[in-house]
Amino acid sequence: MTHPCDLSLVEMSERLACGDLCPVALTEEALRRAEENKHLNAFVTLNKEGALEQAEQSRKLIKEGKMRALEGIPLAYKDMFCTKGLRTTAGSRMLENFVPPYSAHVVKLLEGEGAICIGKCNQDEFAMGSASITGFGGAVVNPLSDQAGKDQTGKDQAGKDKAGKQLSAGGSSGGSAAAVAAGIVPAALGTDTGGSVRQPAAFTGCVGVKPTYGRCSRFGIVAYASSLDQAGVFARSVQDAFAVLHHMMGYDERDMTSVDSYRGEKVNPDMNFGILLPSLDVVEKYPAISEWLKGMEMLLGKKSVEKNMIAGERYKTKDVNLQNLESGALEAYYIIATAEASSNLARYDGVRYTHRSTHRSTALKENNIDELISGSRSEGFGSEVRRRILMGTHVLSSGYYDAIYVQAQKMRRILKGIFEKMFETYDIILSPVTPTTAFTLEEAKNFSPQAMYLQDFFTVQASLAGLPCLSMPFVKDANGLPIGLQLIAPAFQEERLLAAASHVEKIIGYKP
Amino acid sequence: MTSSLSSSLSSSSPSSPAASMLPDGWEMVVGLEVHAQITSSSKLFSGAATAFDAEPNRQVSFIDAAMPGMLPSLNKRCVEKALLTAIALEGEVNRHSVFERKNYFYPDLPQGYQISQLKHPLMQGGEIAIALEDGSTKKIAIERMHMEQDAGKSLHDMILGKTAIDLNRSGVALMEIVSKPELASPQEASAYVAKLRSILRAIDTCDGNMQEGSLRVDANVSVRKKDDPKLGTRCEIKNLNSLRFLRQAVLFEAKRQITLLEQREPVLQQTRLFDTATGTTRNMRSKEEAHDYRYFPDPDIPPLVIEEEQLEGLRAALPELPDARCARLQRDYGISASESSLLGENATSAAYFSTLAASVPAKTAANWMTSELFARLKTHEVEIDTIASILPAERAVKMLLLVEKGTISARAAKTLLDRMLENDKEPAALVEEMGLQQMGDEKTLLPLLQALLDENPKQRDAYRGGKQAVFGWFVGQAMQRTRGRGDPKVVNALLQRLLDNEG
Repeated sequence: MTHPCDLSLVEMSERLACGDLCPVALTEEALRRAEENKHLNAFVTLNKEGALEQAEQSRKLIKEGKMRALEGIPLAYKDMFCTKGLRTTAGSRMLENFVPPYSAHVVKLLEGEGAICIGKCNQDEFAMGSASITGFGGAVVNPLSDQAGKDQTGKDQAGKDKAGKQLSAGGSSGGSAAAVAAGIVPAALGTDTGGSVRQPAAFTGCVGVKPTYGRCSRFGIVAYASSLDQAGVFARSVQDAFAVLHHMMGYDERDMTSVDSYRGEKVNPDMNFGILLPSLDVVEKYPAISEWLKGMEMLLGKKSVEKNMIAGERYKTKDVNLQNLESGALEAYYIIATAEASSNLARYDGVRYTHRSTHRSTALKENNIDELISGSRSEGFGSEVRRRILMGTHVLSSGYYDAIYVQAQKMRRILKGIFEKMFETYDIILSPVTPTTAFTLEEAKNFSPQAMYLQDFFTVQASLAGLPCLSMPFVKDANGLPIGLQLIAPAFQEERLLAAASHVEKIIGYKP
Repeated sequence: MTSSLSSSLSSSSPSSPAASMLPDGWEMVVGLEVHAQITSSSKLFSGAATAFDAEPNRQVSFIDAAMPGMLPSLNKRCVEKALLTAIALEGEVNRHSVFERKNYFYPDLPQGYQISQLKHPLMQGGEIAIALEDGSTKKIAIERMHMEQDAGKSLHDMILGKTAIDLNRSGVALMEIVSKPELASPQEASAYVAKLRSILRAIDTCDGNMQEGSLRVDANVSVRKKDDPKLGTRCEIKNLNSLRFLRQAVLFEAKRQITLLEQREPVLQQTRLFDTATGTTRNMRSKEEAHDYRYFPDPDIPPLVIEEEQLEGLRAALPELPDARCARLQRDYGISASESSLLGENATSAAYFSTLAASVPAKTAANWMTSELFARLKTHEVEIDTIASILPAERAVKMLLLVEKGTISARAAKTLLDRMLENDKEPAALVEEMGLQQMGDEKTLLPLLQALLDENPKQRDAYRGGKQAVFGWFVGQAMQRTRGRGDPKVVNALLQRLLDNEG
């Protein structure tokens, strides 16, 4: 019999409803699996007592026939989501001891449906990173590390370079991805600013969905880059991911950028897929992309792939070409995201709830407030966060603002325009998620910042355009590691995204 | 000069024209930035309360304290009040305005940035008409008005050796109203602020209380030779919290700059502080030390879009403005221009006047208010807005009617008013108690006056010999003997009769 934690969320729910499964036992199992998988470093904080209390409550409600939509389902939240009474660190020493007196709006919505929070997931500090190695809690280990490069009997296969090595779960929501991939929880929340849900999903072989910007309230989610941040969901199937996402969407008056524009349109079953593939040199440079292209030919047929390949020419206007979707988008993303981050992270100043420098000799001397602030920030923030704050401060400085920041915003508008144009022809855009499959933690630690930023090569476009998108396991590389497929839908067309992803899932025969 | 009632109450009366205070050939150019706290029960981006003088940190939401994950949510009531202000100042409302972040670190600025409007303010243009000393009117152009958040307060003297932070004010809604540099004297500057304040009060968008900091003024001052078309280098004097300090600071600063220039030393662009104890200004920071605020559009707040419909609704609901009110009083009651401007600048005093004028002649009411009542409010340091609790209009009417009917003399009325301000007794009862009734009875007065004539034969004969002026002396004596209570009309008539008859 399947271990209860390995059930799909939908099955879990059915078994809980008919009494075959007890929410308390299920939660205990989830917590036990979390402990068993401690080496993955997927959690910053486990919510043992709180989770069991919630489970007890669920047990009562189910017994009374008052079961809610997600009653008794164990979930895990990235440590960017504030959870009332439960430490929320954003992966930073700065917030090492921060216990929020409130919960994020989406957390409240899920709680209101009976979901159980078993813990807070490890991540890159303040969601800045693509490997989940910059958090103060250390690196997250990809649960697929054990299988990489091995045959079915578990033996290392000759010539497989990743065998026996610790792999990265991707980032920044690596802990959430690992928790789902390791079968600890059926679904977990992440945040996606430039790919932080989609890339870890691709690395760990999960489904990761990011809704339209504004779909979910950002209230109570620690901010990285306000105009890009969105809550997202990891699950082991498309259906499960949307089962959770459906309860997170909707307008919240406390987030002025959230919108209430549900479009319950009928989804056309014969969808027209556009394939967005970068220039040939990129395909040749990255083996995973070649594999991806082969998979695409198997999925749609070679002819169809050729026909639906989005070429530069069609979208060329006076000063725009597909090049903008590549390097242009990546640059614009890092300019806008770091600019916003430099301002969003200014509140962590050592004055109120954050880490405070204790260099009494200098910091606490009278009139030395500047040293208290800079001392606290130097100690509280890790190097990648400091790097991005400096970059963001630079691009907003007088003399650079117009030359850099304003240009990036212009690029962002151009990108939105290109997507609008593409959606005149296609219902869904398909593209790779990442240039590579999961890299080893050792490799990750030696990446230059720029090499790490390249991980976002395929994901920042949909982020900048605010579009709903999803990453799902597609094909595998030589080490047997998953290569993801990205689906992008027009704004607020989450239903279409669900239909398309379910369709692809069925064809490729993916089993959770 | 038609100075505002409130300014004449809250500060010493303006002294002689500024022009004569500056050395010959120099003039000053002043522009003002006024920070007006929007009258609102909650803050600009949070639901926390805004009451003045609450216990420290009792009016702070998680948003105001910049807790992680908190987001601003724009208070529509504050926007409405700012729009009403824009309409009253006859400015042009930008249909599309943008909130930006002004980034700098300060312990009482929890977010590490202030949400303000730089490139696309809510309003641009507009003007305020001020009255000059010669009775003419000068229109002062307004550059712009925008909305922004206030910061918290750092309290340096509360805990020994430490700085305490009070975030009650953090996030409170402000309107920053910036004038063009068109003010030419301390008096003009102060008249501008007084007028602005009376407009804001009339439309209830700011209570205008400078002591409590709901209205704060920064003054940009420069000087130049009279025929020089170019503006000189300016200095900004921060946080002036009374009209008197504004006048003092502006004058001191202009003189300081002239002294420098006359010694052939340059004026440096600086932000300066006014020392209320010494009446001088001192440097706070120079241009070189100015912050790079790294303004950029706040990604948490979509652009503010104003619909024409909303503006039309607000235009229709605009309360009467001070200028219109003054004109109406003058027109409807036939009182003088100076009286109407004194009475009409404040809604309370205008309403009070209207109540009086319904029962006694308008001229009597106007004269009594502008001379007797206002003088006493000034002595007692009481604002006209609280008049209802001190002297309800109905009581004042009763008193004025006693004068009208001749029960008491105008002179006795002054004594009566002083007493009325001290207790709540009915005027008629006080008249009785104080023995203020007029003596208009012939039987009582005649023997008294006869005695006066008999005891002063020299003066009596002088009058009868043709010295008319002595009549006035008799009247004075008669009033003294009646302790001011003699009805002047009756006293005059009886004296005339007595003096003429025996002739």
